[in-house]
Amino acid sequence: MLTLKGITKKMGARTIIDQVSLAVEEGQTLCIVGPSGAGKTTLLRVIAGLTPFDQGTIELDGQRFVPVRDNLKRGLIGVVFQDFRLFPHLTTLENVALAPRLVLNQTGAAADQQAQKLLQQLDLSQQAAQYPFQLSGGQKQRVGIARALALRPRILCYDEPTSALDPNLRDSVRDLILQLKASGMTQIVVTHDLAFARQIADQTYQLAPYQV
Amino acid sequence: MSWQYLSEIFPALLKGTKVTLSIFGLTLLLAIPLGLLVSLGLRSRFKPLRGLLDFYVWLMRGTPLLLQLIFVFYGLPLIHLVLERYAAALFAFVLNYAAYFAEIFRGGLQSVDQGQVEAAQMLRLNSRQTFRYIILPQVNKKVIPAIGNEVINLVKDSSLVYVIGLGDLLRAGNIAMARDVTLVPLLAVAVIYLTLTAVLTWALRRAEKHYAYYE
Repeated sequence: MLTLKGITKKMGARTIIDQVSLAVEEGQTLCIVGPSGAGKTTLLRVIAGLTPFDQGTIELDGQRFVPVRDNLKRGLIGVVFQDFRLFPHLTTLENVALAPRLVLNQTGAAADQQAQKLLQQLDLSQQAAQYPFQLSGGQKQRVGIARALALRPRILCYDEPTSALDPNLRDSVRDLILQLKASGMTQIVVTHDLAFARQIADQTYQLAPYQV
Repeated sequence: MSWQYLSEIFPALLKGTKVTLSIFGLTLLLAIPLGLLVSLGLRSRFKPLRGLLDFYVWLMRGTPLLLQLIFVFYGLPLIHLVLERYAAALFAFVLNYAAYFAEIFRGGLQSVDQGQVEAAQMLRLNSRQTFRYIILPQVNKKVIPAIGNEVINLVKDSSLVYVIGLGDLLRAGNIAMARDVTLVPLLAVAVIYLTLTAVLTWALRRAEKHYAYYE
């Protein structure tokens, strides 16, 4: 489904990502692992279109795909950020309903209804009227997931989904990712947590060797 | 101090208050949007525009408003640009205050995390939607206290228009004082200024409260 061939990203003289080739199939969960500073987040940003790359090609369904151009226009890939990046002045419901209303031109009522449904699926109905500062870390992350899902992406990417959470919330993130996988969602998860990756991944790509 | 004397000078003070309020209101109405536009220009990638606006802000903040008023009213006619008193006062005030507002908005814009813009980008909001629905509400909350200070300053600064002979509140009080040789008119002027700033302080607190619903 999504194929990266020889992706290289440099920042000045430094090579952040060197000749990365990988593929993820529809409905699969790919974990990109590696130690801190290996370029995992940069690779995720490249895939999502937030950072341009210097060499290589990306294909989606066999077609050339330039994320900076195509993804930001068509929204095929959604991202759940490590620090969630919820909009602090909007309620949970508004965070989720905003983009469908503005981008998919849904009516306010339709966008709210879809957002309510997503919040219900993610066990957030009680928090619909709350603002991000009133939510726990785990709830914020689920709002981030709901917000990304609201635009119906084909691939959902997570940047270090466990790092900002208490250890006891790790299992609930795992369950959520497995639940989305069961519903057919293609997912790319960047994590430094190998044990977590083993629990959720269909395949794992190691970006740089761990130092022993 | 007799009530009769106060009632005699009241019509003149009221007339002066109207001029003060109109300079104040129109300056705010024009300088806030202009300041916002300038602040966006100050972040432009187009260097000549940024340089020009930097120079404008430096000039306006680096010279006294009194001097700017004199320059606009007495100096511009030298290049055949003649403005009548009220227009000259308004022109100088809007230019001056827009520069201060621009700096405040620039600070507000800088304080919004770039991550918010990226999150909006990932949700496919275009730059106009991102500005309107994501950035501006967050900037507003951050700039209200600083804007509030400038608003209070503006009420008092408006008295500088006396220098070009515009009949504002302070000038009305001054005239009555000189004519009747008493400080009573100036006391009345002080009470009116205090009332105006009290009302504005209350309104600004309401505005701050309005944005206090989130952290």
